[in-house]
Amino acid sequence: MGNTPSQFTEEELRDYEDLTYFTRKEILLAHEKFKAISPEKVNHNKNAKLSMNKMMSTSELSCNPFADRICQVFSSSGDASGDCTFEDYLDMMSVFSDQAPKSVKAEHAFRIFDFDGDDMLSKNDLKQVIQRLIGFNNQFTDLDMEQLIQNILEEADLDDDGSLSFAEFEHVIDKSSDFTNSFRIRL
Amino acid sequence: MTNQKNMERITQSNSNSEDDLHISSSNNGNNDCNLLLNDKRNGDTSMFDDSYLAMNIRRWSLNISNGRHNRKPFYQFMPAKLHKTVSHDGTLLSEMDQIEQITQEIEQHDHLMEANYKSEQARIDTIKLMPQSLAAKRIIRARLLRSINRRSHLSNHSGLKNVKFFPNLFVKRARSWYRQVFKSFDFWYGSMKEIEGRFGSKIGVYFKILKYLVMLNIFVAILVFSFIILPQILYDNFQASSNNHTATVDSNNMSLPSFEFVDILTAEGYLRNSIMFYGAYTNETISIGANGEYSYSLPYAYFLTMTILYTVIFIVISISLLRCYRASFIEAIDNTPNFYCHKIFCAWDFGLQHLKAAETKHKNIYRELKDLLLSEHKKIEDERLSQLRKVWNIMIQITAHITVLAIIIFIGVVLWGLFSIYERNSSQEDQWKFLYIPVVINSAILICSIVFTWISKAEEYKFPRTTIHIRLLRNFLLEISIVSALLVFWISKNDQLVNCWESIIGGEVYRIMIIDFFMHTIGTCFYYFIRYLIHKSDPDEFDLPEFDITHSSLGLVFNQFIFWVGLPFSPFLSLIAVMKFILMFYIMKVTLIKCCKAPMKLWKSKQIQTFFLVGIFTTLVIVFVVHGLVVTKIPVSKTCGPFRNYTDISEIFMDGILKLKEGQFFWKIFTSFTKPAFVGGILLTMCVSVYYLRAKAHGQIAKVKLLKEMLYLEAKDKEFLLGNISRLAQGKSLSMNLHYEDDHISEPEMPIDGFADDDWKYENNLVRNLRLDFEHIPTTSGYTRFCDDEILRNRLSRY
Repeated sequence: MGNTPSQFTEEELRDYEDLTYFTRKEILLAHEKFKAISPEKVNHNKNAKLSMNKMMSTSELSCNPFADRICQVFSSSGDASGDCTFEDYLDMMSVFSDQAPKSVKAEHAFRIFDFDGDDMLSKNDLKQVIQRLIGFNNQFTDLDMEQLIQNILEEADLDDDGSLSFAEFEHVIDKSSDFTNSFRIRL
Repeated sequence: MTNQKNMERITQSNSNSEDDLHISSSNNGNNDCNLLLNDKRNGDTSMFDDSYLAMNIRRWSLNISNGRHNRKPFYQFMPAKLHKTVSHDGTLLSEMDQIEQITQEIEQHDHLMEANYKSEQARIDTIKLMPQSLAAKRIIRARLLRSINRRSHLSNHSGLKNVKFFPNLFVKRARSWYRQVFKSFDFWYGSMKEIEGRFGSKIGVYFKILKYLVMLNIFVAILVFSFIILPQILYDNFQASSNNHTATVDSNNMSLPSFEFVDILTAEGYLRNSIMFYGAYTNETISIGANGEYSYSLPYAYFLTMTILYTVIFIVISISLLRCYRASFIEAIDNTPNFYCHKIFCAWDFGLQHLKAAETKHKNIYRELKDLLLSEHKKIEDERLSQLRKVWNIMIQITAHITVLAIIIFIGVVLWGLFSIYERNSSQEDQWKFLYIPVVINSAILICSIVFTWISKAEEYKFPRTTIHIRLLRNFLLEISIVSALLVFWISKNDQLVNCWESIIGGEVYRIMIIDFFMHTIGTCFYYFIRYLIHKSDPDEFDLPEFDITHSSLGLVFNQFIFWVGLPFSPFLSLIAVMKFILMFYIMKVTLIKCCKAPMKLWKSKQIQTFFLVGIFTTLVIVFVVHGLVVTKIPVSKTCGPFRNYTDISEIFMDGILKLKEGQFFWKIFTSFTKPAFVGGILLTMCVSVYYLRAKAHGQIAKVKLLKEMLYLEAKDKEFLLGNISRLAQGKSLSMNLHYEDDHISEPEMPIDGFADDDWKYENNLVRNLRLDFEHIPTTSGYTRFCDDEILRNRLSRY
């Protein structure tokens, strides 16, 4: 680490170490990766804001059906553009890392799946999730889709309001041994 | 209006926690309401405020007291929710205000706000857990720090206090240093990433197990090499030549055959008496220094290293097994209640990085969901499965079990016969004859594994999981029978003419491992390659082969099993095992990437891991039993090896203990440790604790079920009451003429009651984007219901 010219001050690195689940080495690695997305921009400004399209071109996100949602959720620009700075990227990778606890992952997963941003996974949200999961080449009939959503709600919708709140979502996730394994991106 | 909603949220969250419902085990409910309370306090002058405040404070204090007992006292905040509630307010709160609120919230918790190390750590952990952006977290931290500094100015003894936490600071440094070092040891990171990127995390599990075993074996190899092999090499080169007069030089060494290439495969000839095997190790105490003031006793070193190694391995494997078991079976008991949710929410493997893999995944998910829906329709028919067919199934299953057992016993008997023939012909000079038995063993395993797969296809078990369990169990049984045939045969020959039976077992295990590498690893690779070539020639007709993770992992378990069996008889095996496993990793990786595709159906990755850890653990226990017998009951060879002066290996232990301390005390302790009652007690305790944990998990399921039902009933109650209110409100025509832009609620006619008077000024702003969610309506236990009733009564009394 000592030899490589780092764009970060000691203090910044310590900050990142404290606020993410990464070690110093991983933070630098993350920055290398971020730089690889758009070298000239990041060289110029280490915390440059990269557009969502650029972010989605990375190998980590390129084939993820939720890539745009991930960018939007982690983006700090506050709109739906999904542009990400390095800190956003670091945040994203930290949440997706092995070290992040289930609760943090669940919270972000919920926000990723919550397309309309109303803090509930409504039927529409679920429909979109399923559609994205099976890919746009495949189609369910309306009846099948309805049946699937109905099944999900039957299992998880504890208070029978026709949509999943975060508590209900987390309850489901909490029981799953596979969630942390699948909700993970290696840096 | 907002206030009402908030309050209702609060009641809901509170009631959840009140019942210790599973949902609130993560405490989100509570914290949510904490935040909301904060929000509420700003503009609310409702008459219920006090009681809710009290309630919440009670929750808080509960939280805090819980937190203090926890290892990590931190809280989860859900500013995502906060954000929403705030934006309902109409007065749009900026991000800065949000930060302000969170800061205030954390400031409430005194133990997070102390100016010492522990509290700082807790604070950082809390901040880390918040789903805020990094910048926001940084600001929050800075603000907290500022207010802490302000506070600590008031109290002077903070400096003194900090002294107390120096050890903690040290521990933290050590931990972060350890993590950095550990991370840099994380070899094959790139490979793992590539494999998981292409095939998903479930295939990655095989490689994870492989990597885990490599790490374990590297540890074993380092210890064995530095404490046993290296001293022996030094001894052979320096001391043995000067000590020629001692009569202990092995008589076999006199006629040392020259080295031939085939020896690498057979471990006979030159290698037979080399340091690869037990027989070549000296029973001498090596003296170091001019006058021999330091001494190194190889027998003691041999014994101690092996004992410590096996103990450490046992502990390490037990811990990983427990962790894995806990994660996959206890914490996530059974997902049948949330079957579809898992299929949807945990379906996507976010680690996938290749377009092709993603396409396959899409297809798989689509197909699986489709199948599920189909089977849903079929289920009803299945239930009417005829009695005759059930009986038929059971018949087939019993036949299959008997066949498999017969095959296993048959193979054991055949091996025994082969060993006898081999022993009788041992005078023959043919080098290759040593390879017959390993080849037979390996082919038996390979063929049986295929046959067992066929058999398990014929049996129709209700769950696919059972099929896999049974297949695994059969393969384990086969391996155990083979290895026990090998061990029993040679150990029973210990007092006869056979020269150094320990080395023979070592040699046998070595050959099995080498042949296994050629037959299993190279063979599998070759098989996939052929399939790949066939696929290339006609891509439409033949598909790419699926990577059989069960078969490959079973191979791993077998390898590890015989390695553990052979290690005490051949210390050199540890180096061979490490090399072999590393080679296997690369060969399997290349094969997988070049010629295979991910299997369509896979079980849960955590469960696979657990099964194989269970396998590894079982074999380890068997190895323990075997070695325990060898150490205590079986006489050692009199002509070779480090223990040739003793009648059995345990004697050296007694000898050492007696030498170490002649006192009665240690003697008593050690004899009591070896008593069956003690060992039995340990096993019993373990069984009881596992039983307890499982029972607890089952209890939780029952509880959750019950609570769910209650929740449902509450929801019904609520609907009924709300219906009544709305009717009443409409009747009185007191509603505020609010226009609801609500689109996804089936009953938009929510009453706006007198309750809204208090914050009418907010209401006007709100009208545009008012939304009502049923989630925000109080539910659950009688406790809250009481509150609900009270709200109702109050509302009604206003009219």
